[in-house]
Amino acid sequence: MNDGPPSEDRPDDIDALYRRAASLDASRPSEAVRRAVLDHAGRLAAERLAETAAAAENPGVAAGFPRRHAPSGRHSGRDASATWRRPVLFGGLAAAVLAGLLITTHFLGSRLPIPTVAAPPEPKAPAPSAEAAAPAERAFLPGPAAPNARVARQQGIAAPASGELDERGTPAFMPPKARSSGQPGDPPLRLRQAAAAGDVARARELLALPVDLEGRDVQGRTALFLAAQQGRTDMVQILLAHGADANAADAGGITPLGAALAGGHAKVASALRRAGAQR
Amino acid sequence: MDAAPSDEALIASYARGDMTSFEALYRRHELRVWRYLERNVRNRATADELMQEVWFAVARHAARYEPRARFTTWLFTIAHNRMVEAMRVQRRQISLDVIGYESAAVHAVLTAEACAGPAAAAVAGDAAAALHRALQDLPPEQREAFLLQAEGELEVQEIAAVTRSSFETTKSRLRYARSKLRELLKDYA
Repeated sequence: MNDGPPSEDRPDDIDALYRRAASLDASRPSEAVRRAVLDHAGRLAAERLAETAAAAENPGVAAGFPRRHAPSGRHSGRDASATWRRPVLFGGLAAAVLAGLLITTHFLGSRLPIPTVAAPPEPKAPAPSAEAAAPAERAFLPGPAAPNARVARQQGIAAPASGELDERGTPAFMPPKARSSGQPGDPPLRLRQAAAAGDVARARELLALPVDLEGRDVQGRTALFLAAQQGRTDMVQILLAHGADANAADAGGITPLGAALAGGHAKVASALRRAGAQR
Repeated sequence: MDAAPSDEALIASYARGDMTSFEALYRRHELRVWRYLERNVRNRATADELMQEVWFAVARHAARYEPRARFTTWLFTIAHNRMVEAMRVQRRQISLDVIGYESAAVHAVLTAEACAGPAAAAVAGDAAAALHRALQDLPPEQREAFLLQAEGELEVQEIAAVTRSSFETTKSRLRYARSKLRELLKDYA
């Protein structure tokens, strides 16, 4: 009796038989599973876009915040407390130093010159992306954004040396038109976040203000581009109606129409073409 | 005509926020993962649950994927780990006094429901039904190794990595599985 494994590892017709039998097997995952998976993945994708936009434009806000996702992908209470502890510590320390200096100068009078103290780093509120998103998506939105270097790394862009950052922390290798157009929480940034998330109500609020429709993120993407890329037909139509440039290409030369077609968003593509968009 | 983007390109694109890449990836591997799970656990409801968990994990950890290994190896590693975890939880819920300590016996009790259940009923054709029966007759480790090869199209060393087994053990399991399947399915070959 042979107790060892079969000696031959020859290719046989088991694979062909398996494939033939599998093709006759009608069992499939349920439709509910497919919907749940795609919905979940879609929310995470919108979250990533918003995070990327916020991180690229608000490096100052991101300073001191760890990555939102722990390595396990789960949030622990420790992670959450660590997220807030660091800026609170910095802020508290800076306030204490400032108070100490003021007290010292008060008691010493004019014998000592009053030093010029740089503004202490304040603990920042969470990134504005949380405000710009639809309520249903809010639970999935990222916490404070990450620095530009991480975004660049994620996007396969070679991160610049530290000396290559400009005054706002924007990588100097980015083309000028791709750089951030405003301060943290500025209307163009919020508009891009709303466009990416498909938050029509928020976008309408912002569009009621004098807002630059052509503000761009570090990749040169306008609000219209982001809406087109995500297949947000309503948002695209609203932005076009407000005069957004239908041909505003990103830093890589991709137009909103190109982005919509690449994503298979036919309705968005039609809307853009009607507005005179070129590929 | 442009070649279809690779799995690795799609997951990287999704990690940057492109949902259409994820949809393409899901369409490409949906049935493979499903069959791997369903034929291992032999319970449609459990397979559905695991399927959702696996793809949720893929979506959640997409940014952490590094193309040091093929995407399918990563995908089936997640599927294997979720399945093992689910089996472990289920095993704890069943009295070991009743079913004994042999893993095969535990597995048989856990999966007995589906043998004549919806999964079997959904199978069309004699060959497909025979294949289902033959797979059920394989020991769990051999069945999983075979399914990773047949559905995941993984190489022996990749299967060894997924199941955390040695290369030789994996090779041996595959040979046994194929030998037994050949014998059980000789009327359909």
